[in-house]
Amino acid sequence: MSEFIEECRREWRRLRVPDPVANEMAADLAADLREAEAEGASAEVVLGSGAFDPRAFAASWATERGVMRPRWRDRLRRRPVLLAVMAVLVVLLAASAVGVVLLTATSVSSPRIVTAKAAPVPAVAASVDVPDVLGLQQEEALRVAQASGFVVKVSYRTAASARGGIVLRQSPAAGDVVARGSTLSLVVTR
Amino acid sequence: MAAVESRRSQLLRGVLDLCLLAVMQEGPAYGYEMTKRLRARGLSIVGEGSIYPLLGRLERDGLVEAHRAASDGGPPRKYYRPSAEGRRALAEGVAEWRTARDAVDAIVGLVEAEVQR
Repeated sequence: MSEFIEECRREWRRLRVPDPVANEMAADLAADLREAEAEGASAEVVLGSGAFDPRAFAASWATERGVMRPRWRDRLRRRPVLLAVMAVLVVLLAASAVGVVLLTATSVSSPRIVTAKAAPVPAVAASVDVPDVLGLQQEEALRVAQASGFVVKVSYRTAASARGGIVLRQSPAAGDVVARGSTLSLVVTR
Repeated sequence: MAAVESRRSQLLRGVLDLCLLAVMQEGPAYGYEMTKRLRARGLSIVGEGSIYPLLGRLERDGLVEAHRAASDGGPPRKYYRPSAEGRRALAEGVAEWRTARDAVDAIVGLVEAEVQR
């Protein structure tokens, strides 16, 4: 059983599924498999034919859930606007490089000293994937969300069935792509 | 993978999402709990695809809401239930299923009667 989960984890790492999401899926799977085992049911009862192919199972779960971090070239293909912004940045960069060369050339032929500065180019991505923080401790959720540049808003709710300090809900949902610096609203158990 | 998918697999694939929405409509449930509810009605996924990718898709499409809560004497589990949109999708899907089922029954029901005679 743990071997099956390890195989899934390897596949999720390969697909660049964020760690908190992979941890959650692995924990849910382990709990379900343990319960089935205790009831004398086979892994196939829980997983169907997925029981025989952990990598395919893990990949289809991550794909359907939409939690794979897309590679840059896939992102660009999906988002022509981003591609255009990057093209503009490249042109600006090239233009400022040409400017430096010209200014340097001028300074050689004249005794004046000219200092050329390349325009600063913003390098931080404008959009981020919303991390999955459901089920995490509040502190951990804050750490994960803030690391991705989110402003976090927390509200509290009493839940008889859960321990305190656990994230019950999040909005926007994990996997959504939003502007960096957006607000992530969490509902945490009291 | 077999070149020709069995009829059972094809049928199941068309309605498993409805079955999952229906059993979680009866009360929030975690993954294995849904499998057990399906089994209790005679629907086994042994030999078929897993429900987890399907749950992932329902979640991504906003048809289910998930929350984490302690289970009876076990670790905290991720409980799913249909969202408002999920309940609408379930109602529409069930209506579609009944229409299709009735039409097919009207056709194959006669075949069965002739065979028995």
